[in-house]
Amino acid sequence: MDQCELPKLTVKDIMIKEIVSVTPETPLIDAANLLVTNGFNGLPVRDSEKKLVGIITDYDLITKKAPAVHLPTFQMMLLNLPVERKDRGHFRKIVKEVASLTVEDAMNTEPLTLPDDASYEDVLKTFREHHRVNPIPVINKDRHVVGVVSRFDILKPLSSFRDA
Amino acid sequence: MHNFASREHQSMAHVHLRSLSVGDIMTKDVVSVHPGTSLVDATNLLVQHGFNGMPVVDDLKKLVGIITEYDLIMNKGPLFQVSTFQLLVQILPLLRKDGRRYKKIIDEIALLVVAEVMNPDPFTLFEDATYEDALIAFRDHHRINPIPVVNHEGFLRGVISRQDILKPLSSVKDFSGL
Repeated sequence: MDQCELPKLTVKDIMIKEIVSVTPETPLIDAANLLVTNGFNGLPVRDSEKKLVGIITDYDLITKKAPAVHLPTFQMMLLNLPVERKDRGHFRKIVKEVASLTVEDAMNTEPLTLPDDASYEDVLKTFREHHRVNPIPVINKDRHVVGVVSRFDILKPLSSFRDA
Repeated sequence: MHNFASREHQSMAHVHLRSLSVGDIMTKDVVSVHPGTSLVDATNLLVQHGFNGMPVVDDLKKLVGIITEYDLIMNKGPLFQVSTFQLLVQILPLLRKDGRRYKKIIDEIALLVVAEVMNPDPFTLFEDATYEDALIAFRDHHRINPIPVVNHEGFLRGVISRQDILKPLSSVKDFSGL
């Protein structure tokens, strides 16, 4: 494994630079939609100055009380709505309640981050040590998000091995 | 007010509404691998489809394990050292030009199979489990995603992920005209 002449990789070499993010004011259902339609596990939350203020993950949406408490009701609505007119008053109330929730109600305000000069080794170690965390926002000195790195980005080299 | 609300809850639970089962919301068209599938191919499937994990089945489609991106990253076997991953990133562009130089590690990686990395004792749900059972499973086991769904004989019937759990939330807008 002679690699002495190869340059050291950094997080910048593997991170995704086209960032899909939300703001604390984004409706929670829009964030859920972004997660489900893109197949993301999490989204960075940025303020109006594009600074990182949190992260929201699929796990947060399943576990944080505000949205999760209504999930069983919603799945029943999906199934029963066409036939059940009687309970609509109750449903309407819950829909209104959930529609008023924003990202701020469920986000993690102290997300794990990586600096933009982190080495490849730092990235892998961080994923190994923090098994709940995926993806990880990559920030510069001003806390601006410059990228996002996920477990997929670690595994990509192995997956494209066959092509090489 | 409180009485009214609880009465309504009661009627929802007992009279009118059928609850969804895991079988109703799971993905039935499952992408699965075999214990003998090469690890490179399995990783490729995970990355291409954006899956967090895939069920591993034998020739009869009986569930024998799960392989997740988490397992792949956590594996600390000799070929999963930081240096190997890092080396892979760096040598991939060079392989075509200078494949012979890295022949040993290339051969070793190509020979790895799913059985070496998979979790042979995965958490599962039965297809007749309720939506709430699935929600609780995901809530209480934060590492687990997706969950293979099996019948009572242990054959793979589907797979359920956090995304499937969140679908009702993401479609709340469809109810705005209520």
